[in-house]
Amino acid sequence: MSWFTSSGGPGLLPYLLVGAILFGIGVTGVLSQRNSLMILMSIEIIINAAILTLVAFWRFVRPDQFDAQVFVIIIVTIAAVEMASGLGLVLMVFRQRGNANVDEAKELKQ
Amino acid sequence: MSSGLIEWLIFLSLAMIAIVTAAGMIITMSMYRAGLALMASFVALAGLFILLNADLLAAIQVMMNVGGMLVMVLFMVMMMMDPGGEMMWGMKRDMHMRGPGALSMHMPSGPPPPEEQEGQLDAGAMSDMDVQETEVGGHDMSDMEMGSMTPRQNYTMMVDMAMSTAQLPWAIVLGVVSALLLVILLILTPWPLAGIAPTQDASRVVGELLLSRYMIAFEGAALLILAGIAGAVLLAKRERSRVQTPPETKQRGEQP
Repeated sequence: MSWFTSSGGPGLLPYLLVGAILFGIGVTGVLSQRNSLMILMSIEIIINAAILTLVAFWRFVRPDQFDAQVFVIIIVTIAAVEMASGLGLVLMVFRQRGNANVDEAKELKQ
Repeated sequence: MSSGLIEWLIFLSLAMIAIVTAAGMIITMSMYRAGLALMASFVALAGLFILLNADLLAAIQVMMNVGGMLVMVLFMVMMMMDPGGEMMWGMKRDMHMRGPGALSMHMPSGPPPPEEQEGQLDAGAMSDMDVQETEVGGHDMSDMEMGSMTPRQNYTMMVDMAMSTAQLPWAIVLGVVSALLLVILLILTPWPLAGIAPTQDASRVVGELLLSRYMIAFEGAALLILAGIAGAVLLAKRERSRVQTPPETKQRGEQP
């Protein structure tokens, strides 16, 4: 059970479990929500679950190599870009239709 | 109390906050609260990063994600019809809907119920509305009592107001199944563990890595940000070419 505890404290597995649960919550949100802003927020949850998993792997598998932290920084950057362009899309759909519900934007052209 | 036990306690509370607020984001009816819950989840994750000796990433998490979510909340308050969820809440209370929070407000599945007889519907709805207006002072959603609503009205109102799609049960099943699959895989896989703690200063090493081995990724991220900014501006720009019909022609068309 060395992956469950590490020197008394929580080891690799508890962090990975938290990441998996957050991922499940994010998937539920993306698939069920009707408002596109809520979908963007659920995607953020998924990205953060991935980041948590990455950092946990860094800490317990290769703590001497800092490549994982570089990956996390780049992932956070990409998430910010995704959020910005997603907000732009939502704003455009909102201007055209008066709301931002995804199921009413089935046909993307007006 | 050993330091391991304290670490466990901190980990459990932070993980609990992260998971509960992430679930609350989906369950709450108020989009404003959903944004704040997501911010709380991010902050709890930053705490977990600190627990994992990744203090640089914790700082980045707070600065970028929580700041970005702040912008998101601002947008939400600006554009959404009912960001506080008060209307939803009143509707849910008046219609006695079951289920936690927004999960009860899902899109009706199946075909709409048939249209009722005109006269009976009108009389019933009108009298009830009059009573309601005198009693409550014309609150918007108080008219929507379950008794005064025909199934058809109920259906159309749910289509207008629902927060989640009709596929909500499937979404929950898929989320639970994917999380369970991940958990099983995580438990079964033998991870190669290193029993050492990081000794170097993270910010120094990460900075050197970013400007040597990951230079291309770094510059690519810069390019991506530039493209993202340009794309967002282009998308969100008000279109000049879409001219709506001028009001005078519309009037001319309607008058004869």
